[in-house]
Amino acid sequence: MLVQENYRKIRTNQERKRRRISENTRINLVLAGLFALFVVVFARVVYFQWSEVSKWEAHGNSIYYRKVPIIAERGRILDRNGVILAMNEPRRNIILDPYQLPKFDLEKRKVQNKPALLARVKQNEQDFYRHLDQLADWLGETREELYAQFNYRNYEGKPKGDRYLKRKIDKLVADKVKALHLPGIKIAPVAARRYPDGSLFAQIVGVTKVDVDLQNNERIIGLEGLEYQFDRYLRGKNGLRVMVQDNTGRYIDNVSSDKNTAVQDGRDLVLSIDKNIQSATMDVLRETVQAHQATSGSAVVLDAKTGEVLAMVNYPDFNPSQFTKYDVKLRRNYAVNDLMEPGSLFKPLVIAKALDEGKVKPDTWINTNPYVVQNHRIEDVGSHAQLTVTGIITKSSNVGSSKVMALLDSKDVFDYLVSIGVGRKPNSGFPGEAAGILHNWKQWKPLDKATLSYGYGVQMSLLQLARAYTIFTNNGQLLTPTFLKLGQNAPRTIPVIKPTTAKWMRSIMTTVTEPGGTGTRAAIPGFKVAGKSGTARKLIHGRYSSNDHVAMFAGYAPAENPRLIVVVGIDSPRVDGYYGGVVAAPAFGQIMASALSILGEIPSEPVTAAKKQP
Amino acid sequence: MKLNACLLIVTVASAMLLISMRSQTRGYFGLKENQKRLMQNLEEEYRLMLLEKAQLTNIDRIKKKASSVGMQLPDFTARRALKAK
Repeated sequence: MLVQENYRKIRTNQERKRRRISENTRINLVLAGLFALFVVVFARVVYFQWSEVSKWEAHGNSIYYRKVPIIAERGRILDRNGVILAMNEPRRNIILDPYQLPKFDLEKRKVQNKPALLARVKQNEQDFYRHLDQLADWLGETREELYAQFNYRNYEGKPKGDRYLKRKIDKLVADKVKALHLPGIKIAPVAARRYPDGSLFAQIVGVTKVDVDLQNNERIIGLEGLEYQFDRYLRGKNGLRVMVQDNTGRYIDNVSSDKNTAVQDGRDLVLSIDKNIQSATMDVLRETVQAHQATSGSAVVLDAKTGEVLAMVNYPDFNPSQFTKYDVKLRRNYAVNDLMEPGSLFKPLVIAKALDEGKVKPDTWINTNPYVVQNHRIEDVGSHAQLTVTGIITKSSNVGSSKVMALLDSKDVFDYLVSIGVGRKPNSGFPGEAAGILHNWKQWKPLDKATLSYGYGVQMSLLQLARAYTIFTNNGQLLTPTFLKLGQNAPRTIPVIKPTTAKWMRSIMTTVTEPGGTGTRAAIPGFKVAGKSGTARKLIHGRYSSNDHVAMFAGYAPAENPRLIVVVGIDSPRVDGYYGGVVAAPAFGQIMASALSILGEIPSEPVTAAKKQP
Repeated sequence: MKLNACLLIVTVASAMLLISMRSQTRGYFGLKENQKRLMQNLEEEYRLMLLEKAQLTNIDRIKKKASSVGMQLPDFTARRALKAK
């Protein structure tokens, strides 16, 4: 009490007032400080929320959210009956992250004074190398190589990033590797393009390669053939999912985000090709090329009513799964990409124009004695004083066809040839298809016009030739060839000649495979076959070679109501003849007979005895 | 006071429910992902089987097998037609 009294005495009223003021000031100061702090914090919050929201949001998201790409599956390629010609095989890539590799030497040094821990590290090391030995066996690599790849010291000073340990390995092997739980190993699903029939469709279907995009995702892209042409259709569109990842790397939830996109798998491509016809055609062509020691051969089988390509074969061929091992030339689809002078196969096209214009009739007689144009003698292999228009085709008369050509106006012929696709791309949808060469009619001299009538001075692909012949099989209407199955869709047609002319031509061309014609070896028992043989000298360095020829045969059957058009070209046959009627006609006959049989076409004539072609 | 207590209870209950629902959702998500993985595995199996089938029906393989048991393709150019159209 005394002390209190004393105390009271010490503090005067003035002093008390001063003290109160002083206390209030301190409190106010603290409050002001707190308020200022609050303002600063609030301002910072506002700043984060308004000014740098996207930056911090992204930072936060990057910790928990992962953008997971969903790779689109490349579509299959099927033949017209649903047989798989190209598809994806699920495989696995084994990826090594060098920065996850164990550092046993460092660990051992760290725990060298702790025997229990040291023993455990040594045990882990032993297990690790035991697993590596197993891995080496499964991956088919030497242990030394693998030890080196799993030694973290070999990556010191090198750029960070994953390395492929092995690509496209079998899924079952990958599952075994995964079960080893080796540190630094990641397993990624990939697809490998497979062609179950090997080389049979190689030049049509084409090849693919693996491309790695900016996100390090592998995808298959078409490089050649229909794989290339329909790449966008087959490829599909990759998707993306934003997902929440936990600390073990598992995805635990989806995130609703505008970045989420659905995956669109590639669509299947159904071709017009028939595997059975393709296979039969390949057998015949291979046999023919080998028997005549020819450089190469090609054959095209077209549906005579729709223009669908039922078979297209080139020999020699290549294995599309190992295409890099083959010469680029072998990968060309000669039947579409390469040109040749059609030779006598061109004659029916010229005769059809003359018949259509009424300049001649099938029984009109033409003087076929040799004659001279611009100091160049036009003559035939066999001599005939005169032939009917039908006979010109039957005997393949150069003189006759050039004289019929002379009856026609050059511009009309040019326009007609352009209308049947000569010098124009056939628009089949195959990449790099050749347009061919047809000089403008204004440049034609009398000799050019004469030689054009029997297929010199003009260049066409086999597909263009097959297409041009559709005017005979489709009542004068030109068809556009296609590699895709038309199904219920009507084919695109362009009227070129009258149906009567087409009928005349079918009748005229049938004589070629009958006794007395140049293509008797193309005949098929039970069917009427219309066709034309052709032999063209090859143009080498601007000069016609006397040793190198292209033997050809083009035709259709059954002649009355054609179902198929087949064109065969054999390049540079060396033995057993070089004429189209000798080399290509038998191949044509066999291909046509097989294809008609596969399609279930019933013979129109009874066959009493088997005729074996020589 | 009572209202405040009620509101507090409701808030706490909602929070608990939210947490449990979230956990349940993640559980279902995990299940869904497992099913998806299973589906992918089955799809891969199916694709491998399709490939195997395509390889088994390879024409060259069939011809080799056929020739090994003395069979060969008929010669279409020399066949006999029993009946004409």
